Amino acid sequence: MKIVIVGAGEVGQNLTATLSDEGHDVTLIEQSEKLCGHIDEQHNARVIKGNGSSASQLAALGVDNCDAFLAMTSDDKTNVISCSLAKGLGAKNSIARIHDATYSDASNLSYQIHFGIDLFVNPEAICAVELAKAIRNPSRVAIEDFAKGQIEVQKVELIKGSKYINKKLKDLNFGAELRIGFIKRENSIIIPNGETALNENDRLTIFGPPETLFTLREKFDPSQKIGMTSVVLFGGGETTISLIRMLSNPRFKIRVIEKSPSQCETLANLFPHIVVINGDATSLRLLEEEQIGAADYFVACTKDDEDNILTCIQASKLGAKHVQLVINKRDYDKLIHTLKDDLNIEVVVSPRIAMTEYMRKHLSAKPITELADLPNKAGQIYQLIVPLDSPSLNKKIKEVALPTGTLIVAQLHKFNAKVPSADDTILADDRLIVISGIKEKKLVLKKLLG
Amino acid sequence: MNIIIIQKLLSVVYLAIAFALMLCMAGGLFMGESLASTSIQGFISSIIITFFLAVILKLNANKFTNKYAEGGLFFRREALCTIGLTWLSTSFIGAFPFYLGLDSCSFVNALFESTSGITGTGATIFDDFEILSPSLFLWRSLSQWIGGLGVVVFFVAILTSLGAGAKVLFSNESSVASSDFEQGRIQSVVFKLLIFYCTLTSLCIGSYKIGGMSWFDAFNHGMTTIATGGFSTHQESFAYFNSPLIESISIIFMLLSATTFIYLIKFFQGTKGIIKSGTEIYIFYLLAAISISIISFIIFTSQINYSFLDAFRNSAFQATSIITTTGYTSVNYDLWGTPAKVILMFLMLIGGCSGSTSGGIKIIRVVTAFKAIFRAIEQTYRPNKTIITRIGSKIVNDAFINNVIIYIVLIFTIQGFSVIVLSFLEPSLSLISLFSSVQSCLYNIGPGFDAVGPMQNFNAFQGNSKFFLSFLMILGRLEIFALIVLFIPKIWRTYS
Repeated sequence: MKIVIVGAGEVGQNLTATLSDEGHDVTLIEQSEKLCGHIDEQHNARVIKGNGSSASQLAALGVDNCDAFLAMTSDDKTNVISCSLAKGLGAKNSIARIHDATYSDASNLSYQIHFGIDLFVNPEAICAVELAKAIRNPSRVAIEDFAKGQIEVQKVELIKGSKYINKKLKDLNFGAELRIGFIKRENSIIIPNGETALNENDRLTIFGPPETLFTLREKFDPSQKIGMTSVVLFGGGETTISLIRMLSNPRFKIRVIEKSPSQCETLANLFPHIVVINGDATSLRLLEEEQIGAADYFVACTKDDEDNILTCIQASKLGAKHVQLVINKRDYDKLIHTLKDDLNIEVVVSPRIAMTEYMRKHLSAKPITELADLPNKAGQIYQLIVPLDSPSLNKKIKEVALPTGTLIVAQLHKFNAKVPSADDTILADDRLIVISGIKEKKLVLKKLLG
Repeated sequence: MNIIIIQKLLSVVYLAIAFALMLCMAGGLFMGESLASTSIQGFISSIIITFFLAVILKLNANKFTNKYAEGGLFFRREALCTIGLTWLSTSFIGAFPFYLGLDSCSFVNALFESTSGITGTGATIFDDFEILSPSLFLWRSLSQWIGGLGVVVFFVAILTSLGAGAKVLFSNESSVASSDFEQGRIQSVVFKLLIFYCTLTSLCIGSYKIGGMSWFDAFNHGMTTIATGGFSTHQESFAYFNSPLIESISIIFMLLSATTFIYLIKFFQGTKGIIKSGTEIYIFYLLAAISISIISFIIFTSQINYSFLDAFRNSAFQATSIITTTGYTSVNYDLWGTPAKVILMFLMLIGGCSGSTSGGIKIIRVVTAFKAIFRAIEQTYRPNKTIITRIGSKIVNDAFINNVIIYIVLIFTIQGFSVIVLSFLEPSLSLISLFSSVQSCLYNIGPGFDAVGPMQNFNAFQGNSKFFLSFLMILGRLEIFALIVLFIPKIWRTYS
């Protein structure tokens, strides 16, 4: 795959390293000559000194026939301009790194359509997805989250007393946004359809938006009550803002501790429902006064790694139940991953790595990726990318005669993920997550991929 | 919320109160009360109850040996709750000797009397002082004396184990700013204050004795003068003595007690530059002098039967007694002309200096508010001028100005609403009686006008009104916030 990357910052370099190691043909454009020379020695990639937002330079680099164009500078406007140019020149896929939420607001005009950019990515937002996962659904299954955490997977057990026992799925009225992937009943695996009735002690694997999944838990297990979750965030930067947006459900009681008074005001303006505390969480007195020991989650997400690590250790010692932190520097990665269990830190997220992973997955060239096997080899969960010559292209799902026991549990069109209904249309370049039996897999692939 | 440490502190306070009650009982016995008399029996029961409460709290606190029990976790909200709870419960405990030691005293009456004592208000519900025994007189005076400096300051701030927490306690109960301290350790400041307080009281007692009072009267009045409380051992208050000498002594000590204590200590120590820094004190004395002259002039011209000397003597005593929020009376000022009464009413509002035993809004707040008003006026026509507000040589920052304005607005709002509430409880009272009884309790003065005038008392009020007025007294004494936070549910919960 031919990939052009603009900007050799932390993110750009990391992407260059990962993608070139995977065997892609990577071209990196960077303005600083010094940096260019430096990187040229380190990676097996073509490094060009130049201006990423100059049409003539991009054309000269052969952007017109590249498979992916990634604008990863720290400046939003440069990224938007160069992506738009690249798309205009003929790049197949253009992705821009964006910090400012202004560009994601499509209420008046979609910036993506207007500039012809296929995807906006924000390292801080991706980082926040990683942090939010455990907070939103502690009993989440670690299979995969789909499209920036818009769809997650959860296992629930049907406990005695639930109203759902002995009901057929078509009578349950789950709503369109949820899909039961498969049911484990004693030792057998069932891929359900509308006629399947639920038994006591069935274990269900369900796909859907995180908050809807969470509310479902109570219905399956009446003994579980949805309680308040107290979340304390240290640092009021972009990661925090994305995280607060993701934890918008009222069951989260959020407190933010931020050093800068002006940033505190900004946060309090943006989110009237949260408590913003002006102070430094490295101060033990402040942590004690704010009773961090009684908090369910303590998440340190400042730009300062040392502060993050130490406050997390402090919070964990004071009694915070779950502790997570963000690590920005590459140098600390290994150290923290070795020490994290000793320090009682549950989740460590690096925006750089999270971003690279995300991009790698997005660019993954394989038309089919196996995600997980069902228990007892009864079936498989896999991801497909719908090619342009698929026999099912532009057909509705109900029109594609999929074999029984096959389910499309998630559909990602461009950047929008959902659990599809029978009336949704399959479009080119869609990513589909499918569950089917091993035997049926061949037929499914034939129907969807051709 | 660290309930354990609050319990521990409360138990210290209760223990000390039990000791204070014992002192009063011993005094009563010394004055010739028999051990079998009702009042002494009442004292014995009260002491036992108080002691018992202290022990229960202490044992309960000791049961928990978790990390919260260790002294370190003492923050602003624990301090505020300790103060609020201390004052509420001390008023309650202080009512036992009246309730148990008198045959005809309802509990709400006892509570009113006790609250009026501990907050230094000086309003009484006793029509007839004959029924009070020496031990009860002593308790009335001693409770005022303790409450004058502050119950918590008296007993708790000395505890070394509290560390910096003591500072928070102290600054919230008395209105001295922490920057006024010369010593680093708050305990040594409090200790100095206590010595000064005791010395001033002894001087006052001695002067009263020389002025012609009996030892018992001198002792009681000495304590209530320094506390700017206003309880007297006589129904007629200072009119009983009818002595210009005693009144002059009283005026001097009332004025001293309404002056910032830290300032006085520094003054007597001869600290350099102290004369220049006392803006608040100058304004206080100036205000007292001006109001005395005006009132003398008014009553000299309007009342035919006053000689000039009489007019001066009475106005000096009454104006001082009111502006220092003591509340002694030597004449029935209710009979004076309206302009004189209006001036007295304003003096009630203003009160003495910050960091003294007097109540009211305090001079420093009034001065700050006026400076802020003038600043706002100047800024309307000259918005670009940078104006630094100073009081004396001290720069006043915006946060302080803000606090002062909020406080003044809040206390006026509370006063207004309280008049409404009281009017429903006491529909038969005149507007001026309602207004001045609320004012008298909220600003810890004692007497008011009309139905609560200098020759009247609060006995005629209904039980509910007495309860309400007692609450206002504590509210005013604690400058609102330390009491109000107790009723905010969030403060008791874990923060989230």
